[in-house]
Amino acid sequence: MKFIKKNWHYIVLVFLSLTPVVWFLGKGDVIINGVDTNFPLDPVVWFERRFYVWDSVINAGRDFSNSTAGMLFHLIQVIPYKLGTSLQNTQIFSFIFWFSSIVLSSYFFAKVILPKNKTAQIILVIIYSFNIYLFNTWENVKVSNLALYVSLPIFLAILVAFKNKKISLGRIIPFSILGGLFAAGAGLNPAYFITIILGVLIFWIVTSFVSWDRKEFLRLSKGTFLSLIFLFLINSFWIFPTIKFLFFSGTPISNLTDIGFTNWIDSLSENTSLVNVLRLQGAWDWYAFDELSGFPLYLPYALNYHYNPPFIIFSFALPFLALLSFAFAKVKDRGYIYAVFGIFLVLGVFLGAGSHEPTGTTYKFLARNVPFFSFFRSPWYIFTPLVTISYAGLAAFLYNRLSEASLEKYKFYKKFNLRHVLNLAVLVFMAGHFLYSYPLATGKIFRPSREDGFYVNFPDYVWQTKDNLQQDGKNFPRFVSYPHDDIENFDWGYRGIESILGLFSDQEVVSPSFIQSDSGLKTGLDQFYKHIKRGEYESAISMLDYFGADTIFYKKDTDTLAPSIVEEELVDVEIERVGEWSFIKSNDSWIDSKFYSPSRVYLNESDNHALAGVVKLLDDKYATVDSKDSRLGKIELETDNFLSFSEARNLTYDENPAAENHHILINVSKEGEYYLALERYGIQNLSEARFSLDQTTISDDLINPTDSLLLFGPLQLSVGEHEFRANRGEVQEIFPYDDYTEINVSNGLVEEVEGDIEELIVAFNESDEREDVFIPIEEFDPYSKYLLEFESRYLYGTVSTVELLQGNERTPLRSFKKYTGSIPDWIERNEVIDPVDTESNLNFLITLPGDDKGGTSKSLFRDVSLKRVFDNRLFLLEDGAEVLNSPDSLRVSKISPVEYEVKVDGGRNGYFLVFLDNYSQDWQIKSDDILPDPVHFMANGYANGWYIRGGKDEQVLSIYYHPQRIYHVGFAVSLLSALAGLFLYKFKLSK
Amino acid sequence: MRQIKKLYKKKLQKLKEWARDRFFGLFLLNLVVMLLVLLRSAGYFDPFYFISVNFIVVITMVLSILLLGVGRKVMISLALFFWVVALVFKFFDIDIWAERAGLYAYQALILGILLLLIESIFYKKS
Repeated sequence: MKFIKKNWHYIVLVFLSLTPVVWFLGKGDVIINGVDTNFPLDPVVWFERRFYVWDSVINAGRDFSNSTAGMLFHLIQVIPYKLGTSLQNTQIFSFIFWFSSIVLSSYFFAKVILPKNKTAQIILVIIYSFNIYLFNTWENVKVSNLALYVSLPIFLAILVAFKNKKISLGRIIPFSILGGLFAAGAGLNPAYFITIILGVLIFWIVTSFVSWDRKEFLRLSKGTFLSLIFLFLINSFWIFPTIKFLFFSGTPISNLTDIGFTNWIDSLSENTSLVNVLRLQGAWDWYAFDELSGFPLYLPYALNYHYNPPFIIFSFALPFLALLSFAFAKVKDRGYIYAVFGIFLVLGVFLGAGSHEPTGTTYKFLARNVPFFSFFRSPWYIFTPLVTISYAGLAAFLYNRLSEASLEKYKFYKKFNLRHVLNLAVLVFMAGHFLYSYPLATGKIFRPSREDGFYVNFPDYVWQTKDNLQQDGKNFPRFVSYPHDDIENFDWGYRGIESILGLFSDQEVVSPSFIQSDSGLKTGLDQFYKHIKRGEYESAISMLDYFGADTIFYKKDTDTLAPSIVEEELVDVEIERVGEWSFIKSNDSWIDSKFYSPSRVYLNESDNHALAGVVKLLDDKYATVDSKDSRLGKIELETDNFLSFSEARNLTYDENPAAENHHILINVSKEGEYYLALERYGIQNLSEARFSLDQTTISDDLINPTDSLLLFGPLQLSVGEHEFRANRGEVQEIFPYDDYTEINVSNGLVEEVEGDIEELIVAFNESDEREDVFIPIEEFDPYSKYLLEFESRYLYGTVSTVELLQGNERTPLRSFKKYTGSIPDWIERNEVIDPVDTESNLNFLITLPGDDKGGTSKSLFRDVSLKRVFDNRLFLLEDGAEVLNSPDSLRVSKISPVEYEVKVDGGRNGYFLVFLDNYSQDWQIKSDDILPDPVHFMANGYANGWYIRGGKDEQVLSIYYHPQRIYHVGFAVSLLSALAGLFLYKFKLSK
Repeated sequence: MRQIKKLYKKKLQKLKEWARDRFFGLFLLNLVVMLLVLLRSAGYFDPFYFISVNFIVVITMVLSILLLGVGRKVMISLALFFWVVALVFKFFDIDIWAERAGLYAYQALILGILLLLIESIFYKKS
């Protein structure tokens, strides 16, 4: 009992730290995983990736500089995993580590600012470690949030202790090294790291101002900058390469969009009003409700916080206590810390509100005018730790103030036994606080009872695939993932924003991603998926080489709108089925390494969009280069060494996109033999179609159809413009009626028709509710665009709308609405509609709203038409024999994701080399065996290409991602500064 | 009852003394507030500048510091008052007014923190 009385606060700390254990109680053998959570199924694979600044696993590689910051976070997972614990226990260990880090760092801070009051210390710890801000942090186990949340109190504690002369200057070093290690994870989103620095600087400025004394100012400045220097030095291993990437990567970066991120600040700030931010309720997903049912889309517990009276009242409690604390503040000794909390609170709320008015105007101004400010794209999530630490500290101070012995002198204090009342109030409040934060205490933040919950039991075939890939050992050629949803949503509960294969292997995968710049790879991927959805499997499989892939990773266990692949229709492939997954491997692929030397190089005179259309026609081991790329000028080759391709221009489309006959203009820049390739979709009946070039019909023996293209040629073309005409035959009308009698009769409108009942549709409404004329379109093809045409005439009453509504059995997909206006004459209207390309149906609706004043409404329609437009593209492709030298052989060894060794045999003369990772000027080629200055350019719309001017016949090339060196320097600086810091502390500064 | 009356008289006397000491400040504050309300109702600076209720509240709070010498405790109490008002409106689902009261609470808090800063600086110096 004595032990408990003496150490009760330690017992509380231990219990708080073990909270993650509760999250797993009764849940079985599950792992908390999905969306941003990303718990690796093989922690070692993820840990190893953090040693390289290039990640080649996703979408042909990306700079990974700031992701190396996650090294320590993943180390915590690797240690127990390597010791043989199960994945679940590894995760529990990792969670407990971070939860206890929050508890202990806040306890450290509490102990420094309120050294004598244990209850006040525990109040601070509980409010800081258990609050509704942390719901989102833990739900997604956000590394950068956790890093900020743990390290902020550590750094503040260091500075308070130093200011109060509890620690020496030298002692700042080991504590800063510790804080810096915890802060490392914030590098995953450097905005969080900057918030730590912001907190430290606010402390320094405010404290210096409030307790102004020149000598003290200099002393505090030394301490502050020593701690910041060590924070920076310890994190050099990710800071150095990240600075290189942001400032010296060739492309100027000052906004999020420059690195392919979406700036979602406005949507995230939609509900960050001051009242919500002050109550810590600024997370966007708290306010996402289903329009029909009114229930939360993601967070069931949000209902309590919005509508349950005790929860509403309690949501105002923390700010209330903070204000009360300011009112009772004793500025004598602690004025500076109150002021720091005050500035944290005011600034945290202002910044956390983001672009929400009334403070949003200033925030938007900063985002527009201050470089890199837009990187704070999730302001509430980034800045709210400043608010929570203020609330926790102020509540603790309030208790401390109210329990001070000096109050005992007041008669009423003794008379009403206010000390006991206060302690009871604290107990009640803390119990209320735990109840208020129940989703965090119980694990409900992980939505256990919902389909989109985070408790995941991975099926056996996932583990089997993991074993297969690890046994195979190769991670190239790549896989292309299908279906193509940005979020993989598996039937068995896991949802991921990147390919699931990345959770446990280094298998390179190409798949849709939220973070994808507009490159040839993306355009090619769109084209690939279009082929699959249209059933053009041959073309899809022939495109695999373009991505450096030979396999389609087909997942049949996802919730998707994408159509299934009919595996029986695939030819020339091998299919390996593992549970619900199929690995469809092309037998026709020539890709076996990331490097090859093309014997044909095409000059792309259009853009990457055109490139994707002709990829399947390009011969093996081709390369394409942008004809506008100025670096090509450095290559000492004649124009004849290059072949050309371009996209022709459809002149008819703008006038009448649904016309039968289309006039397409071809521009030829070099005389020679060409092929014309016309996209075939929609021209199924070739016998009806007619094609001519320069008014001469192209004979059938020159037409070679594939499943997605019609190839014309070879054709000899001279320099200049040529006229291609495509007559696709009669264009099918898919609006099901040309006689409207049935529509009028079935809608009971016959008596309203004035004129010919066959030629007019009458929209008539005499009620106060809307009336619809509803016509299903039977022969709708969702993979084509359509031209909708009709004439309308307004007679009286409310104004009608015409709508094409696309949907399937489960959900509406897209609506194309046309307001007809209130013009009493016949008006022609038309619009091209582009449906969502998924299996679905289409309905034609005429809607006439009711007149609530009791009037009647009437509009007339005629000549309704819905026809497929002809937007098929025509490409011009030069034919020619192999025109370039290429070495006899290339032997490639992968040394690491950032380094390859290529042994070239027969490289005496100049040749092209293509490396199928995303282009970056930082990929460099080093060799003593080649002539100097190889020309580096973008090949195939996304990859790296070099023209090597020749050299020795046998060459050894080293291809290296240069920022890795900067990472090594940074890593050495981190290590040495830690050692030097500890040395300084031990032998010099501590004296 | 007698005690309450006595307390009331005592407080009233104090209030009178307080008001007498700040007679000019009170006069000026009322004048400015009345003027702002009149200008707002007349739409005087529209469309170049719109005098909002929020603007009047902020000016009143700032002037109360300058003219009446309102201190940190009063300003924070004002923030507390507005915060409780925000709670009441939120409780009854009147979100727009809750937001407005929340905004006033935040503004009073900013002024309160400024006063706290000043108080801390001068306390140290004194």
